[in-house]
Amino acid sequence: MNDDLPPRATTQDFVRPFVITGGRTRAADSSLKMETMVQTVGRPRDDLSFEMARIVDCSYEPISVAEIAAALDVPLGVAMVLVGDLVDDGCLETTYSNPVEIELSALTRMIERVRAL
Amino acid sequence: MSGPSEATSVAPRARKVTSVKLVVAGGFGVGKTTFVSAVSEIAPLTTEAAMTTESKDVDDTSLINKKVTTTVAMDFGRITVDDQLVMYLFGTPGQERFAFMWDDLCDGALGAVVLADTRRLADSFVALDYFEARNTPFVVGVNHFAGSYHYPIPEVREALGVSDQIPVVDCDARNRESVKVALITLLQHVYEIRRASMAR
Repeated sequence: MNDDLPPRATTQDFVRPFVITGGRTRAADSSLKMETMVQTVGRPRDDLSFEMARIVDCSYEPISVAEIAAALDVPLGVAMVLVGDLVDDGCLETTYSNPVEIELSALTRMIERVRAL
Repeated sequence: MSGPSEATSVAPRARKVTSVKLVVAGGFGVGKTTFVSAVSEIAPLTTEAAMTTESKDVDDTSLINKKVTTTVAMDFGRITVDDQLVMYLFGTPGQERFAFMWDDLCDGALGAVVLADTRRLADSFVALDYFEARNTPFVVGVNHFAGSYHYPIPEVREALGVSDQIPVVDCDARNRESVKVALITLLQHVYEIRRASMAR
């Protein structure tokens, strides 16, 4: 009897999501948020990983970190780490707007936009 | 002849596009994703936030606290305002036990719509408490389901215990016009709060 043996893993096809970030779960740039807009601005390095190359490819038009995570089908935290690396490398630029700095005129534009939907 | 050669052109300068985040909260099954899809210009996307939690083992002969990775799905949609501004609408994960991730979700939010179902008003209390405590501007959208008694807004307001300053509107998440009214009410509410604080 081998009762002391641990149960066999049954989910052998499971890949831990943070493998592609080298185990890091926090982005170097902690100011990144799910709604932060990013855009490709620099020449991509040649040695980008598959996922990073895809981020560079899908960010030629401004896109949010959340949309990148959805496009790559990776958890938000994974997208944040990879985007943070690409920002450090100068491949991506971010724009984050603090909601308390949103101007009244921007709110008016939002209201008009929703009305026109 | 063509212009400057492609090879020497530098990558385009970033167009300054900023974004705002709005949160749609409420109990499980209250219509948050339906609300988002009613006004989103894209089919709602899903992103997964992975998080590690301590699992409380039911078998208490085991003294080992297992760490388990849970993923919580969030649906979100997008409304492009113009070439400088994009709005994102994020639905909070429905179950209360995921309230711990609302900080990530609500940090930096411009405002929130709390959806309430008149058959299960208490399900929206967690969201109301949360946004009140954080001073996040919010409005309440009262979702009326077919066949359910249509409570007048003042009665719902009283049952929810929200102050007179908080707008409460009827909201059928399946109806785009109705969702637009709820969103505009929220944006106007944020506008009034901003204007008042600037006048001070």
